[in-house]
Amino acid sequence: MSEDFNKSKVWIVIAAYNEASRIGETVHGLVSSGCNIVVVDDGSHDATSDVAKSLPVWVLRHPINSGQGAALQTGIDFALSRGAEAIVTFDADGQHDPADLPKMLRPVLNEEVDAVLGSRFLGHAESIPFARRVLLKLAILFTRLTTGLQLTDTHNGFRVFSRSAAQLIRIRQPRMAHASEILDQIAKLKLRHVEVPVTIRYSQDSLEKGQTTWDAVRISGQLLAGRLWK
Amino acid sequence: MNLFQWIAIPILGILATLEVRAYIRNHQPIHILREFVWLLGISLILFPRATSTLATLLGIGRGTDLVFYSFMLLSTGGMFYLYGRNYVLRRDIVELIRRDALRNATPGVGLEMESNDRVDLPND
Repeated sequence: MSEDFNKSKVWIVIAAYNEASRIGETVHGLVSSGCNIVVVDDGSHDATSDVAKSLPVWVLRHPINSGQGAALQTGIDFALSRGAEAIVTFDADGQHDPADLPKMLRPVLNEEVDAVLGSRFLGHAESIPFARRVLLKLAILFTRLTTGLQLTDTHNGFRVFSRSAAQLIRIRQPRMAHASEILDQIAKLKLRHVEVPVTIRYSQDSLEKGQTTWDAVRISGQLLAGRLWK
Repeated sequence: MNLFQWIAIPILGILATLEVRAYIRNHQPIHILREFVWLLGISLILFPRATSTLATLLGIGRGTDLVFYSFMLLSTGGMFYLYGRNYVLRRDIVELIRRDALRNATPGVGLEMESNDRVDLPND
């Protein structure tokens, strides 16, 4: 990444739902990057918004819980309206390592690709349970069959989009199916993309909020519904 | 005519009349579909043997089975239709929620709201 890149043009979007206990730590890890941060509180019942407002970030609040996909799109719309040239999506639960940010940004800022996708299987997935690993591998197979994208990690929330890519991609799946939908659109729009190794640290909290096998079935149903009712 | 026919047919007749009136007012095709349903109901109640005749023609055997199968098919179709309507409605609600969130963006500590801060809302 060039030394003189304009950090004011980089926006990090964090979708948060009932993350009052963790959002502070997640944001503190990112503040030193000098990039802009927007936290979208997705209708939390706890003090997520209040905690976020005490931090040097922009805070947007959904009055009703609408899902992670909807929150990300809200944050992306906000970042675009503020002139973002690169937009990062970052999970609120502290799973991602902020140290991975520079290498994630580099390909987009150097205009080599339109989208950078983090991959825990190229990097490190610490304390990942066996069932979660199997579920993620099945998701990879599903994505390869439906989009043709040869990816190693399809449900990683750490991504970077160029401004033009963020303008083209429209997340219409409000809930967890957005991860598959983004990949679907990357394939359809033929966006240049690359996977970058990242580290994901699983904690008990993040596992409890993570997806189950039943969620995988629901996501498949949501994707099908999204294709039937445009 | 038996007691059930005396009760059901006038009710369905009123519904059919209201449907015609609604169609004359706004010309929406849904009223034609509903009118068909009310008239079919009147016909089947007036001529109960018609379902048995139709069931025999279709190889089902009993009229009650034909009614049951039809009900199952219509229910499935109805649920599918309602799921779709609900899906689209929820998506529209999310757009409204998004607009509200964008209009009320709040700067955290150390960030200042500039006087010309204004979020351009997406058109779609």
